[in-house]
Amino acid sequence: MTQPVNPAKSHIAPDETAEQHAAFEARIERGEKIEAGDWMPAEYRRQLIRMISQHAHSEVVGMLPEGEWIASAPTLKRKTILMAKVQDEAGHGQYLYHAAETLGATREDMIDALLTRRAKYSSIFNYPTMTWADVGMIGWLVDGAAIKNQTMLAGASYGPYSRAMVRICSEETFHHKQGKEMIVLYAQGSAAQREMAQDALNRWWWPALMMLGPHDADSPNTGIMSKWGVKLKTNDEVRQEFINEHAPELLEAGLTIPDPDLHQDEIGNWKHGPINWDEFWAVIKGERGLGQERLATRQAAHDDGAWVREALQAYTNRQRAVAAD
Amino acid sequence: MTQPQPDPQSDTQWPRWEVFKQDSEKRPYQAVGSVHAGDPDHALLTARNVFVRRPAAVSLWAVREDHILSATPEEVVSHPDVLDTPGEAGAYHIGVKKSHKRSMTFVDLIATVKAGGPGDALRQAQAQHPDALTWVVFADVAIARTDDDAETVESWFAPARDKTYKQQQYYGVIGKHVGELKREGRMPRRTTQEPHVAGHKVYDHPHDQTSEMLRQRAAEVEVKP
Ligand SMILES: [Fe+2]
Ligand SMILES: [Fe+2]
Repeated sequence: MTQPVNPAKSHIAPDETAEQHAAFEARIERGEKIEAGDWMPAEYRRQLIRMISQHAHSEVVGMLPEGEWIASAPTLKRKTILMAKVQDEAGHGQYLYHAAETLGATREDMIDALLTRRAKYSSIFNYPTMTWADVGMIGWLVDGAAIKNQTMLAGASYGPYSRAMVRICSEETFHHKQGKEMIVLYAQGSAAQREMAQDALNRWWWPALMMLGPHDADSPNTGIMSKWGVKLKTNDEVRQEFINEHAPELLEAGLTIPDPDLHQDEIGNWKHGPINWDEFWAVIKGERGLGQERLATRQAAHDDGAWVREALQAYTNRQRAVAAD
Repeated sequence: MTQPQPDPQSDTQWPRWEVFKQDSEKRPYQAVGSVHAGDPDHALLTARNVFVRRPAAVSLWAVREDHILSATPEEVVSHPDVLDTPGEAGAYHIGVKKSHKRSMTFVDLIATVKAGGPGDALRQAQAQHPDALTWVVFADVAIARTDDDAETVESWFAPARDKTYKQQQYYGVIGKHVGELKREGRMPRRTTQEPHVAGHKVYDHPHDQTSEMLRQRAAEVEVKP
């Protein structure tokens, strides 16, 4: 993850030609969507499988921090909303696993990669949810940051990924708004509610900035994937959009953003202070945060679901045997 | 639709099914993606959970990949015998891809024909739509489909629309501070632009609608304590 980009590195595989690459890049240049059966460079396929499957893992692990609060939701309305949101995240994982499958990845291999740590997922989901206000703050900031990234990816050149993103974004907007509504309400509520909202912001602000990825100078995979129309903006551009939208709204809600260096520059961009990347990498590697617990929970869910897969397989076998008679 | 086929020996997956969704009675079935499933019911249930979480739908079809024949004009030139692909005679559905740029679907089903087999159906598709980028055909008998009685349509597809708290329009939270910054010209431009994909606003699914009812519900929940 930390290797620098090698600009001289060729992305043309031994059995591919420069002409094939030129024709492929011309299609992207014309704004065409690449579909599953179309010719594509092996490197485009490989990078997309990596990106889409890690994105899927993030959605699936992303159910855990908030899922813990379903039983403790303060009202039936909030509980209904939270259940719908967590169900949506499961659905997002499904869209994305399906999109990766169109590239030849198998579900079994992707799940195995998650459970054996061959694949990563977003570091944000390794932070604990300490109070009920964390549920609202995650909706406002974490789903808010995810929307910025996913809106960019909705324009990606790979058709199935782009379609999944458009569907996901319309659902994420509900996640974002329900969180914002909750926090704005608490920030204008009783002293205890205000304190809970501020405490949640103190803990989630920096992880939300980090989840949009390393600074552009330290981001090795951006080059070729932006040339191939997948990553249409850099991490820093997306992060700037996120802060520009959220900083004024948090301030309006009466909250204090935990960054003494935060300020607006001449053209109106909100500039943040230095980000603690050591923390980011430690959380990604599982040295800090709840990485172990999250994966253990996923592993248990996978094992507990084995009988469903076996039953479906037995039913399929039975149908085939009947059909063969 | 003609993706590289995994080695059948090493492929441990359930078969792939292409999913076609109909948004309303008057619209064509459109290819929305694929699912892996062991049997027709499993394919339809998975398709419903994956592709109809919000968008409007009245019917879903799932067709197993080995029942679908598809070809591009180039493939018909290089392998003309695809037009002789044998199979059962009967009703066949024809789908075409007409643009490389559409974002939410890539194949619309546009006709049903009587054909002597898949090759013949492909030949008719080519004759009817010589300008298509891809032709897709499959037999009517190969379709796993949701029932079209009112009860099934209601139970499969209505919840996606009726649970209003799942719609973003239910939450009308717009900051006045942000409005002030915008008026004073202190909000950077790009955050005020709605992102678009191929003419659709990304935040609004093309078939979502902001109804007056939803706006009123949003106004009710906005009452501050
Ligand atoms: Fe999500
Ligand atoms: Fe979300």
